[in-house]
Amino acid sequence: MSVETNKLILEKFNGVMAQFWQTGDAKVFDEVIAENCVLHQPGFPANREGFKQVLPAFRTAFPDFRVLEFETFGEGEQIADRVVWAATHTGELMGIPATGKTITVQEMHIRRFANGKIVEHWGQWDQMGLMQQLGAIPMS
Amino acid sequence: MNQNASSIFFERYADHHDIEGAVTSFASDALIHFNTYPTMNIDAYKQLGAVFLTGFPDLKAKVEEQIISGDTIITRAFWSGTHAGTFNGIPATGKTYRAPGIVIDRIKDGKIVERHSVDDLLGLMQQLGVIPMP
Repeated sequence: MSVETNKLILEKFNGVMAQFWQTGDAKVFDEVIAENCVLHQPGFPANREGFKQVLPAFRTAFPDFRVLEFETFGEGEQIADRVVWAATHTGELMGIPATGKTITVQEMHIRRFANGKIVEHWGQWDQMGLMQQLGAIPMS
Repeated sequence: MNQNASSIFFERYADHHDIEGAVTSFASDALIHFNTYPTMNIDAYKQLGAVFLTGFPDLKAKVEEQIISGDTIITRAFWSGTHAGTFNGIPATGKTYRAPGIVIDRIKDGKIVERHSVDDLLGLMQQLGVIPMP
Protein backbone atom coordinates (compact mmCIF):
# COMPACT_ATOMS: atom_id res chain seq x y z
CA MET A 1 0.00 0.00 0.00
CA SER A 2 1.14 3.50 -0.70
CA VAL A 3 1.87 6.22 1.80
CA GLU A 4 -1.22 8.05 0.51
CA THR A 5 -3.45 5.02 1.15
CA ASN A 6 -2.03 4.65 4.63
CA LYS A 7 -2.63 8.33 5.33
CA LEU A 8 -6.29 7.76 4.44
CA ILE A 9 -6.44 4.90 6.96
CA LEU A 10 -4.95 7.21 9.57
CA GLU A 11 -7.60 9.84 8.75
CA LYS A 12 -10.19 7.14 9.22
CA PHE A 13 -8.65 6.31 12.59
CA ASN A 14 -9.01 9.95 13.63
CA GLY A 15 -12.66 9.88 12.51
CA VAL A 16 -13.22 6.71 14.54
CA MET A 17 -11.61 8.35 17.58
CA ALA A 18 -13.96 11.34 17.26
CA GLN A 19 -16.90 8.98 16.87
CA PHE A 20 -15.85 7.07 20.00
CA TRP A 21 -15.63 10.32 21.96
CA GLN A 22 -19.21 11.11 20.93
CA THR A 23 -20.77 7.71 21.57
CA GLY A 24 -18.49 5.89 24.01
CA ASP A 25 -18.69 2.74 21.88
CA ALA A 26 -15.12 1.36 21.65
CA LYS A 27 -16.15 -1.36 19.16
CA VAL A 28 -15.68 1.21 16.35
CA PHE A 29 -11.89 0.81 16.71
CA ASP A 30 -12.21 -2.66 15.15
CA GLU A 31 -12.76 -0.88 11.82
CA VAL A 32 -9.23 0.56 11.78
CA ILE A 33 -7.10 -1.47 14.22
CA ALA A 34 -6.25 -5.05 13.22
CA GLU A 35 -7.19 -7.76 15.71
CA ASN A 36 -3.55 -8.79 16.18
CA CYS A 37 -2.20 -5.20 16.26
CA VAL A 38 0.78 -4.74 18.59
CA LEU A 39 0.79 -1.50 20.55
CA HIS A 40 3.91 -0.05 22.14
CA GLN A 41 2.89 2.99 24.13
CA PRO A 42 3.83 3.69 27.77
CA GLY A 43 0.77 3.48 30.00
CA PHE A 44 -1.24 1.51 27.43
CA PRO A 45 -1.92 -2.23 27.06
CA ALA A 46 -0.11 -4.00 24.21
CA ASN A 47 -3.16 -5.18 22.25
CA ARG A 48 -6.37 -3.91 20.69
CA GLU A 49 -8.73 -5.25 23.34
CA GLY A 50 -6.67 -3.64 26.09
CA PHE A 51 -6.67 -0.34 24.20
CA LYS A 52 -10.47 -0.53 23.92
CA GLN A 53 -10.74 -1.17 27.66
CA VAL A 54 -8.47 1.72 28.68
CA LEU A 55 -9.78 4.44 26.38
CA PRO A 56 -13.22 4.83 28.05
CA ALA A 57 -11.41 5.95 31.24
CA PHE A 58 -9.89 8.86 29.30
CA ARG A 59 -13.24 9.72 27.75
CA THR A 60 -14.72 9.90 31.27
CA ALA A 61 -11.87 12.11 32.49
CA PHE A 62 -11.65 14.36 29.42
CA PRO A 63 -15.06 14.49 27.71
CA ASP A 64 -14.20 17.62 25.68
CA PHE A 65 -11.00 16.12 24.17
CA ARG A 66 -10.03 18.08 21.05
CA VAL A 67 -7.11 18.02 18.63
CA LEU A 68 -5.24 21.33 18.28
CA GLU A 69 -2.41 20.27 15.94
CA PHE A 70 -2.02 17.25 13.69
CA GLU A 71 0.64 16.53 11.11
CA THR A 72 1.71 13.36 9.33
CA PHE A 73 4.92 12.11 7.75
CA GLY A 74 5.07 9.05 5.53
CA GLU A 75 7.67 6.68 4.17
CA GLY A 76 7.07 3.21 2.77
CA GLU A 77 4.59 1.28 4.89
CA GLN A 78 4.91 3.65 7.82
CA ILE A 79 3.23 6.86 8.83
CA ALA A 80 4.49 9.01 11.69
CA ASP A 81 2.34 11.69 13.20
CA ARG A 82 2.47 14.43 15.78
CA VAL A 83 -0.65 15.43 17.69
CA VAL A 84 -1.27 18.13 20.24
CA TRP A 85 -4.55 17.75 22.06
CA ALA A 86 -6.30 19.66 24.79
CA ALA A 87 -9.04 18.71 27.21
CA THR A 88 -10.67 19.76 30.44
CA HIS A 89 -10.32 17.36 33.35
CA THR A 90 -13.95 17.09 34.42
CA GLY A 91 -14.04 13.39 35.40
CA GLU A 92 -11.94 11.07 37.56
CA LEU A 93 -8.67 9.85 36.03
CA MET A 94 -6.81 6.89 37.58
CA GLY A 95 -7.93 7.86 41.06
CA ILE A 96 -7.39 11.60 40.54
CA PRO A 97 -10.68 13.43 41.10
CA ALA A 98 -11.71 16.02 38.50
CA THR A 99 -9.64 19.18 38.82
CA GLY A 100 -11.42 21.32 36.21
CA LYS A 101 -8.02 22.09 34.73
CA THR A 102 -7.48 22.37 30.98
CA ILE A 103 -4.39 20.50 29.85
CA THR A 104 -2.43 20.33 26.61
CA VAL A 105 -0.55 17.14 25.72
CA GLN A 106 1.80 16.29 22.85
CA GLU A 107 1.86 12.78 21.36
CA MET A 108 3.83 11.14 18.57
CA HIS A 109 3.11 7.87 16.85
CA ILE A 110 4.68 5.63 14.23
CA ARG A 111 2.24 3.18 12.70
CA ARG A 112 2.46 0.30 10.25
CA PHE A 113 -0.47 -0.81 8.10
CA ALA A 114 -1.70 -3.95 6.34
CA ASN A 115 -5.00 -4.79 4.66
CA GLY A 116 -6.47 -1.38 5.41
CA LYS A 117 -5.79 -1.48 9.15
CA ILE A 118 -3.14 -0.53 11.69
CA VAL A 119 -1.01 -3.58 12.55
CA GLU A 120 1.69 -1.99 14.71
CA HIS A 121 1.72 1.20 16.75
CA TRP A 122 4.62 2.89 18.50
CA GLY A 123 3.41 5.79 20.61
CA GLN A 124 5.00 8.36 22.81
CA TRP A 125 3.05 10.86 24.89
CA ASP A 126 3.91 13.26 27.61
CA GLN A 127 2.27 11.50 30.56
CA MET A 128 4.58 13.33 32.96
CA GLY A 129 3.42 16.71 31.62
CA LEU A 130 -0.18 15.55 31.83
CA MET A 131 0.21 14.62 35.51
CA GLN A 132 2.08 17.86 36.24
CA GLN A 133 -0.61 19.98 34.60
CA LEU A 134 -3.23 18.22 36.75
CA GLY A 135 -1.10 19.02 39.80
CA ALA A 136 -0.70 15.29 40.59
CA ILE A 137 3.11 15.54 40.25
CA PRO A 138 5.02 18.72 41.15
CA MET A 139 6.60 20.72 38.31
CA SER A 140 10.34 20.05 38.15
CA MET B 1 21.85 4.06 7.95
CA ASN B 2 23.02 7.10 6.02
CA GLN B 3 24.35 9.86 8.24
CA ASN B 4 22.04 12.83 8.60
CA ALA B 5 21.70 15.70 11.07
CA SER B 6 19.52 13.60 13.40
CA SER B 7 21.72 10.50 13.40
CA ILE B 8 24.84 12.64 13.91
CA PHE B 9 23.15 14.24 16.94
CA PHE B 10 22.38 10.82 18.46
CA GLU B 11 25.88 9.53 17.77
CA ARG B 12 27.66 12.52 19.26
CA TYR B 13 25.37 13.07 22.23
CA ALA B 14 24.39 9.54 23.21
CA ASP B 15 27.47 7.55 22.09
CA HIS B 16 30.20 10.10 22.80
CA HIS B 17 28.52 12.45 25.33
CA ASP B 18 29.83 15.30 23.19
CA ILE B 19 27.23 18.04 23.71
CA GLU B 20 29.12 20.73 21.78
CA GLY B 21 29.65 18.39 18.84
CA ALA B 22 26.03 17.21 18.96
CA VAL B 23 24.51 20.67 18.71
CA THR B 24 26.41 21.42 15.50
CA SER B 25 23.56 19.38 13.94
CA PHE B 26 21.28 22.34 14.70
CA ALA B 27 20.90 25.68 12.93
CA SER B 28 21.95 28.47 15.29
CA ASP B 29 18.38 29.74 15.70
CA ALA B 30 16.79 26.28 16.06
CA LEU B 31 13.76 25.80 18.33
CA ILE B 32 13.41 22.69 20.48
CA HIS B 33 10.10 21.55 21.95
CA PHE B 34 10.67 18.79 24.53
CA ASN B 35 7.76 17.29 26.45
CA THR B 36 6.00 20.10 28.32
CA TYR B 37 9.14 22.20 28.82
CA PRO B 38 9.02 25.78 27.55
CA THR B 39 10.43 25.97 24.00
CA MET B 40 14.23 25.92 24.16
CA ASN B 41 17.02 27.46 22.12
CA ILE B 42 20.33 25.65 21.65
CA ASP B 43 21.83 27.00 24.88
CA ALA B 44 18.89 25.80 26.97
CA TYR B 45 18.95 22.43 25.18
CA LYS B 46 22.67 22.06 25.95
CA GLN B 47 21.90 22.66 29.62
CA LEU B 48 19.20 19.98 29.54
CA GLY B 49 21.63 17.61 27.82
CA ALA B 50 24.12 18.22 30.63
CA VAL B 51 21.44 17.54 33.29
CA PHE B 52 20.92 14.06 31.81
CA LEU B 53 24.63 13.30 31.47
CA THR B 54 25.24 14.38 35.08
CA GLY B 55 22.43 12.19 36.37
CA PHE B 56 23.21 9.25 34.08
CA PRO B 57 26.95 9.21 33.33
CA ASP B 58 26.56 6.00 31.24
CA LEU B 59 23.59 7.38 29.27
CA LYS B 60 22.99 5.55 25.99
CA ALA B 61 20.48 5.67 23.15
CA LYS B 62 19.68 2.79 20.86
CA VAL B 63 18.17 4.11 17.65
CA GLU B 64 15.50 1.63 16.57
CA GLU B 65 14.36 3.27 13.35
CA GLN B 66 14.32 6.42 11.27
CA ILE B 67 11.64 7.59 8.88
CA ILE B 68 12.58 10.26 6.36
CA SER B 69 9.69 12.17 4.83
CA GLY B 70 10.44 15.27 2.76
CA ASP B 71 12.31 17.72 5.00
CA THR B 72 11.50 15.78 8.17
CA ILE B 73 13.42 13.02 9.97
CA ILE B 74 11.65 10.96 12.63
CA THR B 75 13.84 8.93 14.98
CA ARG B 76 12.57 6.34 17.45
CA ALA B 77 15.03 5.34 20.15
CA PHE B 78 15.33 3.73 23.56
CA TRP B 79 17.28 5.67 26.17
CA SER B 80 18.94 3.92 29.09
CA GLY B 81 21.31 4.73 31.90
CA THR B 82 22.31 4.28 35.52
CA HIS B 83 21.28 6.99 37.95
CA ALA B 84 24.78 7.46 39.39
CA GLY B 85 24.75 11.27 39.72
CA THR B 86 22.30 13.94 40.84
CA PHE B 87 19.51 14.21 38.31
CA ASN B 88 17.41 17.37 38.37
CA GLY B 89 17.90 17.66 42.15
CA ILE B 90 17.33 13.94 42.80
CA PRO B 91 20.35 12.33 44.49
CA ALA B 92 21.76 9.20 42.82
CA THR B 93 19.68 6.07 43.45
CA GLY B 94 21.97 3.65 41.59
CA LYS B 95 18.93 2.42 39.67
CA THR B 96 18.91 1.86 35.92
CA TYR B 97 16.19 2.97 33.56
CA ARG B 98 15.16 2.23 30.00
CA ALA B 99 12.56 4.41 28.32
CA PRO B 100 11.48 5.14 24.75
CA GLY B 101 11.50 8.46 22.94
CA ILE B 102 10.52 9.82 19.55
CA VAL B 103 12.17 12.84 17.93
CA ILE B 104 10.74 14.72 14.91
CA ASP B 105 13.34 16.99 13.28
CA ARG B 106 12.66 19.50 10.51
CA ILE B 107 15.76 19.96 8.37
CA LYS B 108 16.83 22.94 6.29
CA ASP B 109 20.18 23.13 4.49
CA GLY B 110 21.33 20.00 6.31
CA LYS B 111 20.68 21.38 9.81
CA ILE B 112 17.86 20.83 12.29
CA VAL B 113 15.76 24.01 12.43
CA GLU B 114 12.99 22.67 14.65
CA ARG B 115 12.80 19.64 16.93
CA HIS B 116 9.71 18.15 18.57
CA SER B 117 10.66 15.47 21.06
CA VAL B 118 8.74 13.39 23.59
CA ASP B 119 10.48 11.08 26.03
CA ASP B 120 8.84 8.85 28.61
CA LEU B 121 9.90 10.95 31.60
CA LEU B 122 7.16 9.48 33.77
CA GLY B 123 8.50 5.99 33.07
CA LEU B 124 12.00 7.22 33.89
CA MET B 125 10.91 8.70 37.25
CA GLN B 126 8.92 5.57 38.08
CA GLN B 127 11.94 3.35 37.36
CA LEU B 128 14.05 5.53 39.66
CA GLY B 129 11.41 4.95 42.32
CA VAL B 130 10.75 8.66 42.87
CA ILE B 131 7.18 8.45 41.52
CA PRO B 132 5.08 5.39 42.44
CA MET B 133 3.99 3.02 39.68
CA PRO B 134 0.25 3.29 39.00
